[in-house]
Amino acid sequence: MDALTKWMSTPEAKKIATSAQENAWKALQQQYPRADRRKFQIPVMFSKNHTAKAEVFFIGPSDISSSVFGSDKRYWSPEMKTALGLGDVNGFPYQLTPLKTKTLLAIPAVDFTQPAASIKTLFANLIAIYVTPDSFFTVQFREIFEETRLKHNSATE
Amino acid sequence: MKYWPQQLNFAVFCATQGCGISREIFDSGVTLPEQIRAFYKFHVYFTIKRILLQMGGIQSVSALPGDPTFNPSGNKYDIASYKRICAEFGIPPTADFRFTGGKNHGLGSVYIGVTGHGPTKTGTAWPGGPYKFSDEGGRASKGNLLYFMKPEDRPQYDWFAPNKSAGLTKVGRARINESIEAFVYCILGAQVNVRSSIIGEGGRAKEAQTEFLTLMESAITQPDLAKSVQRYQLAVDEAKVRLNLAVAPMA
Repeated sequence: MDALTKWMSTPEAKKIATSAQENAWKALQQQYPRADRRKFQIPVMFSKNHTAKAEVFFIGPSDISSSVFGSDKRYWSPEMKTALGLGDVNGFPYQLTPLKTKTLLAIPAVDFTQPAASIKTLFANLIAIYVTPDSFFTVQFREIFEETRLKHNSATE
Repeated sequence: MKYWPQQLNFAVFCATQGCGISREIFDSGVTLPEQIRAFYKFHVYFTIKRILLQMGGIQSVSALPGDPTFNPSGNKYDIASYKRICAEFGIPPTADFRFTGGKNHGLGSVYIGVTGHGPTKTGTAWPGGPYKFSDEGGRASKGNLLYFMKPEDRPQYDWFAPNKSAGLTKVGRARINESIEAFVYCILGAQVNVRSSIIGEGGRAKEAQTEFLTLMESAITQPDLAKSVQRYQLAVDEAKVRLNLAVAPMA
């Protein structure tokens, strides 16, 4: 066992490791305050001069870990976004929830895999127009919820 | 934002979440008199169309499906007007209204052209796969030509209306006031113009109901309806027939 490995088991090394883990977690929390720590691991790496460096990893399905700061946000899985607190808030995507924000929200955090009720169906039927509390007539509004499935034939579109 | 589905996402977002209106109002999730529930439906539709129109600026360059100038992949809009609407609803103009669900961030499944078989769907996600459009250098001879991409049948705007809401927002109350004005204008105006009650199955009532839709389209384009409502109220005073209108007396 070399000196570094021996030193790593000392209380001093454990204290440095814990401190590095806490700092790494604080750095993550500054960007993602709603992150769930139970979903992450923070391994520590020691260098020869007895300093420690910690990095936060998300533990995904099948125990596949991905570095939070070392991976491309655009390809994060819905599970990872949820663990970072970027998932759904009160039934609405987190990214668009905070009105009046001046901060540019970096990623589309919407979990679009969840089902959503159809607005098109709502307005495709006859709409009741109540003229008094108990008398109404029905009208059909002009259809506007259409042509949203666009076929792309070239990269320039 | 020239992409029509994205414009619709934005308009749906403003009319629902921006105003503080959620699906609960439509699907009986909250207890409401039917008159109020029906009015909220009118408000959402009216506001969506008005925002789409307002995005066109003073020259009304925006277009809806069916209009001659409508182009779903390059639908014109006025950037200054868009930013003004964003400011009204407190949305950063850089906010992302793209739909990123489904295959290839909503662009859809990749189809390649296979000789003798026609377009064939692949499971490869673009740009992860080797496929390219012809204007990107893709060639059938090299086995990498992308024929077209087509999304699944899932309307993306549905995701931009919230399931729950914390109540009406400040801007939502202002927009709802506009909708109430428009509603009154359309109901009174239709009956005054046709000189008939709007309730019933008779020819004159049906004519008034058609007039209601016509007036609604014109109300969407009018920035200030207060004067028109006053004009119709004067006409109502002189009306020789019984006119129907009671806006939420129980609210």
